[in-house]
Amino acid sequence: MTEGRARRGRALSLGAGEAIRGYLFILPAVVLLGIFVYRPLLETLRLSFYEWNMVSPTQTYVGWSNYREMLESPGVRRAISNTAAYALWLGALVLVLPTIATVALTYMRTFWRRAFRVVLFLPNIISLATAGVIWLWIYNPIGGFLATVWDALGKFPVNWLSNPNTALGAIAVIVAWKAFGYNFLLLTAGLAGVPQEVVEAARVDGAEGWVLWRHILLPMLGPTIVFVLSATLVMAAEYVFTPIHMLTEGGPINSTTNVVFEIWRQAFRWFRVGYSSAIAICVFLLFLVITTVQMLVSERVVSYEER
Amino acid sequence: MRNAEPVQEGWSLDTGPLSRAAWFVFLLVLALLALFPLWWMFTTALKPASQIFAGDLSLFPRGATLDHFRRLMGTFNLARIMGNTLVVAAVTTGFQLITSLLAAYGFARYRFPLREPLFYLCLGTMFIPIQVIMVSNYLLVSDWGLLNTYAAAILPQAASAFGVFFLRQQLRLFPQSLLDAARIDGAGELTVLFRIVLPTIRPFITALGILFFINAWNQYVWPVLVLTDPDMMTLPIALREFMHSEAGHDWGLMMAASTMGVLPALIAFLLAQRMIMSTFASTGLKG
Repeated sequence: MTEGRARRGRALSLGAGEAIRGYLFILPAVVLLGIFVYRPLLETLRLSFYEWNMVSPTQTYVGWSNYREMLESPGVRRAISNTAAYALWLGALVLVLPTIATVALTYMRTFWRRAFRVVLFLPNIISLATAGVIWLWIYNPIGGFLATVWDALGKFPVNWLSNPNTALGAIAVIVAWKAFGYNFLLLTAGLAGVPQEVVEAARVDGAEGWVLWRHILLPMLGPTIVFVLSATLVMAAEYVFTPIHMLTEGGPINSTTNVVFEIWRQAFRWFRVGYSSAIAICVFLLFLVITTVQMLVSERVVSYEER
Repeated sequence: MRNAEPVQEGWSLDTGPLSRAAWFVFLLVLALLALFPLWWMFTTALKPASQIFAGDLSLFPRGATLDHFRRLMGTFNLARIMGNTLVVAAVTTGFQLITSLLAAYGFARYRFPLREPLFYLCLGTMFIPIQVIMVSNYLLVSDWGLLNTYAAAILPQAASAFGVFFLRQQLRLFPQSLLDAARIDGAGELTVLFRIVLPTIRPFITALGILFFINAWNQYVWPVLVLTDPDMMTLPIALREFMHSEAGHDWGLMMAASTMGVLPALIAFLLAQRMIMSTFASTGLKG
């Protein structure tokens, strides 16, 4: 075992055939990822300089004009500000709230700690599509749970998903319902990783309650929080796509669209492939920045999202 | 070698009974908010139609009925849709496991030029949103004449960067001496991988497989583009189709359909709850 440990990660010498065998093993995954991720990324970059309606045999080169149009478009500006609004909603619901819940969990006894963790994680295994339909029923103005309660409280009826003032929040709540448990799980796992001795030592020094959290525990949880923050930004851009696509298609009057949904809408609603590609490239760059910053700050490198 | 590690239990702090009670109530409210939509879905699916539109908030159905499920079979081709979802999810999972295992073994155990750059190129694909590349992939799949086939839904997802990363972590820990011993005995490379290495990492493969399956079962963004024929749709896509059809306001029917979408993932979760949560937790861990 010692021998194994000492050499782990290092390749063995299998002679001249080693490299070839290595390439053969990685070939299927590398080829598939190349064809279905990097090829389309480059193709999208190319298309972003063209105007094309997806069916016409001719693609017209237009230089930077798609990008220029994007900068001037009120629709895109709206999509950007909505993306920021989603980020604020989700920041509150799936970053701040689970962090508080993580604090709360440390005061529970083992049985409840396990029970809460399982129950709060449960919605995470449900697809965003199903979550969308379930919430559509809860939000439904006729006979829906929320409307009925609202009515019983004597309030003026609100059609949550059709009212431009409430639709974005209503979509954010759907995503938050699903995503809460994942972030909560990461935060509790991160906190469990703080050594018991550190906690003990701090308490011996008189750190209790808020002081303990403020000066010892939350800072030690910092890298996890940064990771969860970047996951939350990804959700604000990417996860909301499914409920938007299913329930509002960006409306009413553009109140729920976001930058990622605009990629779909420009290409598959209005057949402006070039313009859609220009937006896609900008979204890619945005994700690149978020990921790079997150990795630099916390040295964590992995996330896995349902798509 | 080892079992998939359970999520660490963590330590606890003491506090006064009052503040403990307050924290408990806070968590209880969150737990009820997490469970309520699912409960509401189940009970709506079981309520007789007369109880659904009466502004009736009763949390339990009076005289539960499977009527909505029966109508679901009749109105929509539920068996076909469930079959489509199962085929797409199972085959996607199988492909992802195989390609991940092979690549992870190659990256962990062989030395070849460009190994590190290729590995990071694989890893990088995790950070590219599917919506950025979906238009171009749609055009490719359409050019190949694959629209509305299982292949269209499966092929672009047949490799998983996360799977490569996750299994590589495990394979790096495998003792070199065992591999060398097997080779001296004349075992071929694939035999070593499948007969010697694979059995020792089976718990990780299972955990990863469950994670892949749940994600494939749930996926929406890609199949909604390529599976537009009602006979080929997977369940999440069919849900959208139901919603926009005349049945869109037949909530008993809609919730019965949603229940069918939730059940497989829910059963998997209840059976392997610890394993699933520890795998999910590891998706956020340091590399």
